[in-house]
Amino acid sequence: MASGGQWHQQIDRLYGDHQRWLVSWFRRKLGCHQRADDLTHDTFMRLLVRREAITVREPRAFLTTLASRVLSNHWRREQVEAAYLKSLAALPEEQAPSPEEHALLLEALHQVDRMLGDLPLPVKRAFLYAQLDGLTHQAIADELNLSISTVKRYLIRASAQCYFALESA
Amino acid sequence: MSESWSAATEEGLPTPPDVPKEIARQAVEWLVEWQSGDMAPDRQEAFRHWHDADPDHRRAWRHIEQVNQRLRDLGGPHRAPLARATLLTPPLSSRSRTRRRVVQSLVAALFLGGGAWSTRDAWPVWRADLRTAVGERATHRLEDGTELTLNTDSAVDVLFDDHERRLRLIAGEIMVTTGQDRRPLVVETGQGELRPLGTRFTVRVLEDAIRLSVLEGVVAIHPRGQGHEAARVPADQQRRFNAFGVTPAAPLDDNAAAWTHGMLVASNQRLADFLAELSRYRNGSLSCDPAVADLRLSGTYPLADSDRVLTALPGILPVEVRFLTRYWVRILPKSSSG
Repeated sequence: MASGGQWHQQIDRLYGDHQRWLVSWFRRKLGCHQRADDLTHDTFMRLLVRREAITVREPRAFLTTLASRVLSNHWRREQVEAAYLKSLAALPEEQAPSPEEHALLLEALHQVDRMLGDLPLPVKRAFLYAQLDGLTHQAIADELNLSISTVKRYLIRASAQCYFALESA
Repeated sequence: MSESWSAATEEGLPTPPDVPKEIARQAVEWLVEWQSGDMAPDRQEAFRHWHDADPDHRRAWRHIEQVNQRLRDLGGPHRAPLARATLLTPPLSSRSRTRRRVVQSLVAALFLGGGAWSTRDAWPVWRADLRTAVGERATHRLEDGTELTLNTDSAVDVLFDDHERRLRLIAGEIMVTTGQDRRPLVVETGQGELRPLGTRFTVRVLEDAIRLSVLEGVVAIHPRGQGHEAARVPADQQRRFNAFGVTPAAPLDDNAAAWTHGMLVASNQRLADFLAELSRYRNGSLSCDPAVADLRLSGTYPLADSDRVLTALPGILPVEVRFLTRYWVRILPKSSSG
């Protein structure tokens, strides 16, 4: 672990030397200057949050790795938002959320989506039936055409990851 | 500290308590037992014993309850279907497994023609070299001096090597003004290739075809299924093609190049068609009542502010604009009372 002062100097140098380069990297990927600035900022924020010693021979390769992760998060958020808008458009008008509710709902969806991570879709589906609809194991088994023991296994796997970031046993 | 823990903190969800893994796992098993729907009274009693036996047990359980609180915001008969549809969108992944699958589907697309490309496989679009979001437009000058403009919601790979300059149009619409270079320029699409001969043109991906509009010079079309040149399109003409053929030449559409100036041009256009065009430039749902679909309008409209275009409609046509949210707009007949 680097000492505080040293570490901040490293970050400052990394920022000074490569910030403009990183903005243009994002800009090429996104085609939008505003967002390229935002994501560059996010990338350096991540570095700050990590507080790990940075021993980098090739700072640009290092930053690209970090930036790719920031970018794929960004894409996933866009994808979630697009899926949300699409299912919203299919709802009858009287069930549509108000503009305030809309923003809260979308943010909650982003959070839960992150929590679910890359669990397999059937596992996510079982978990959502249990949590959002309060279905019993039997009802989920009927709905998804699975055995009760499989439903139970799915729910334990999803819950272990969602609540405690534990890999399945 | 693991990646996912710090990530969860950033995103505003309750942070998992620092309890031993074994206790976390017990808590999860209790939760799933509660959800079974038929927990016997003696098991409920056993749970209470477990819960009270150790402060770590209580901490683990309180964390579960806090996260569940968050999940309840998304539940209920109206919200649950919406949340489910959103959260079950297959995740993007940059892992090689997914890459391979996409490569396979692209290869399949090459041999099966169209279709597979126009479904807009998410991964190639998102990892494209150049991309624009909905409502954005961007111009790039490439290394050979070619000027490439991407319209709204578009994606292009730039693949230049010693022998050729290849632009792969994955989604959306582009305008190409070719630069001088000894290497041939090729625009690759899901339906076939375009070979320009010193020129300026636009290419748009439609549902099941590609539209080529030539502004200057000449462009040759090579449909994928034919493997040879099927047509040469001169300036001021446009044609559509798919993997198997080319439609007859037509005069240029008003909008073939207007978008490069940030404009949408309508001349005696049906309202429904106008809205379909405008909706390319904004997120969400934009639709109209069948009663007004056939009204016609003319004019030049700025793409940069599609909200303003919509709010101006009642001044031009006997319609009313209903903004339920910014993302959900419907055009209705003017109500007789108003």
